[in-house]
Amino acid sequence: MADRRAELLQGLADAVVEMDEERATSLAAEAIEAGIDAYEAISEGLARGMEVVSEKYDNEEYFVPEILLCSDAMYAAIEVLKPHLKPESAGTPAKVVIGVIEGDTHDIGKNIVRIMLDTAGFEVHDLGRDVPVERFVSEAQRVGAQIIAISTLMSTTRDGMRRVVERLEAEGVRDQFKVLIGGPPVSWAFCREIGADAYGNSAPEGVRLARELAGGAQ
Amino acid sequence: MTSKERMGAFLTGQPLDRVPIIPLLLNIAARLAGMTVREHGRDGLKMGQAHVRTWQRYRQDMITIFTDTAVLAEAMGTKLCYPDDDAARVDVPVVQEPGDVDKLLDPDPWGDNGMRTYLEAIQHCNAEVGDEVFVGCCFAAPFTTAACLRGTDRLARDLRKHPGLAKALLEAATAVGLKFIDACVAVGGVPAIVDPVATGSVLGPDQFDEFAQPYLATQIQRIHSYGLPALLHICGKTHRLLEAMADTGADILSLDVVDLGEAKARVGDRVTLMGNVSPSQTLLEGSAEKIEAEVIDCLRRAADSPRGFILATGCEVPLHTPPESIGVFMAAGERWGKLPLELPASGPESPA
Repeated sequence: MADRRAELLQGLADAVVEMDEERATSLAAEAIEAGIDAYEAISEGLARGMEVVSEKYDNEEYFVPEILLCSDAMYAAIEVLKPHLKPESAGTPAKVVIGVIEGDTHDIGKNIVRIMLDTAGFEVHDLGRDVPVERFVSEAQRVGAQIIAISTLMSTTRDGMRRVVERLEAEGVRDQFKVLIGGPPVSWAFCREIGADAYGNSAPEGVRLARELAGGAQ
Repeated sequence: MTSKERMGAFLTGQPLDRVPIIPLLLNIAARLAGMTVREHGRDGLKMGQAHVRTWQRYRQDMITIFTDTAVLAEAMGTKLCYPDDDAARVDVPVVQEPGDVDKLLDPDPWGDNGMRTYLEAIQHCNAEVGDEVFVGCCFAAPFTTAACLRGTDRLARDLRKHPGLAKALLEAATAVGLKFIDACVAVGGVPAIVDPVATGSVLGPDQFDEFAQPYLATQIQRIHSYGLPALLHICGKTHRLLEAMADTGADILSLDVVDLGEAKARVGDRVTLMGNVSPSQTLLEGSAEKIEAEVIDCLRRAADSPRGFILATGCEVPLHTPPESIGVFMAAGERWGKLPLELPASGPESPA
């Protein structure tokens, strides 16, 4: 049993790394049949695979096409496992709302960060792209997020990030959330200027900072 | 020397007074001429007027006409949305499903589309100031156009899952680009290729070699067939792609987030380098001192590159950059780019 369990978990990880959606879903079903806890199949199998994927991205072996296909495999297998998740096995992950600020529809970078946050165990609420300032604030409050993550590719839209911070202040809830920003036209200087909490200059760096902002809980 | 004489001398290896300076003044030309981006974006005369006024103010060494990377894709069927004062962007890519490849249009550059806007803008600039400055026109490369036809995330997946579809899109985009090159040259414009989606942040070198390089090479050969130099701009982090970019046959590489000293060492003997003052962190946000320091830093790293150097911004000058900061950039380039170079004693290296 122990061998079979290890083999299935390793298989799930490998299927993610190898972008094999079919194998990931069939192994997920096999794992359930073999009595493996669905949460473990995710955390010890799929997420392990995505960790390898993140490393490969960091080491410039994998690029955006690979990340997207690996995550497709991961999410497809999660769909199979989800109905079997026991509510108590998931713990209480830190919550993040993430989106591309209004006026901008470039969402590849945001999607990569979302995938990596998912993998790192955060509960991620993806608001999509061209997201109005108010929506970042209202959704963060609605889901009880700890972190608001905002991305943009364009210098013309980055001031929306400042408006998110201002809105949090105006509503008197600034101290309930950490604001994490990313994208080519922003910087640590801009982050400090607008009163955000952190600036991630790459997807893995963004995830590392999210862990820090969440108090190392992840 | 006029801008045109300077670029002519630069490209033919004749003596010149200073390093050429080409900040990428694109959509900001509308702002500088008191128009909204949308107002000038699909009106050739207004676009031309905006660039003429911008050039008369700064006297940069080439006019760079451009609005957005979706001009060709829109003419081929992709739907765009038009914000009031920002560049148009993709709303609905035409190829949603693989079968939609049949929906691709084969537009005429003089048809009712954004290519015609560019061509009319070039004509206006040439009529007004064409004896003093070359009129460049940037258009999206095949890979970037394909991304606008399909959606970037879908195209990224296609590279592995449907490479045949990706290549069909790339071929269609290449063909339309070739027609645009012909039309652009016919009105006296200098075509320049921009490929922001094929950046090293998205594609690996093997993917670039397979899905970007050959299509770029085809277009660059066409530009060469007119006796013109080919300029290739790719934004973002491209340090992994330098050799592959040079392999396209481009004569000038316009670089963004790359150490110019490293680029000089790796490909400086094959291509002219152009770059790379930071558009956001320096032009938009930086003080006059910071702008000047970064100009000097770029010159120090690359002005002695074997195939020459053009001082530029790494990417488009942001729309709300203070106009005086562009003036500071030009003045710093004119002062410190004077040949032979006499740069101030090296201070602490500024961050790359």
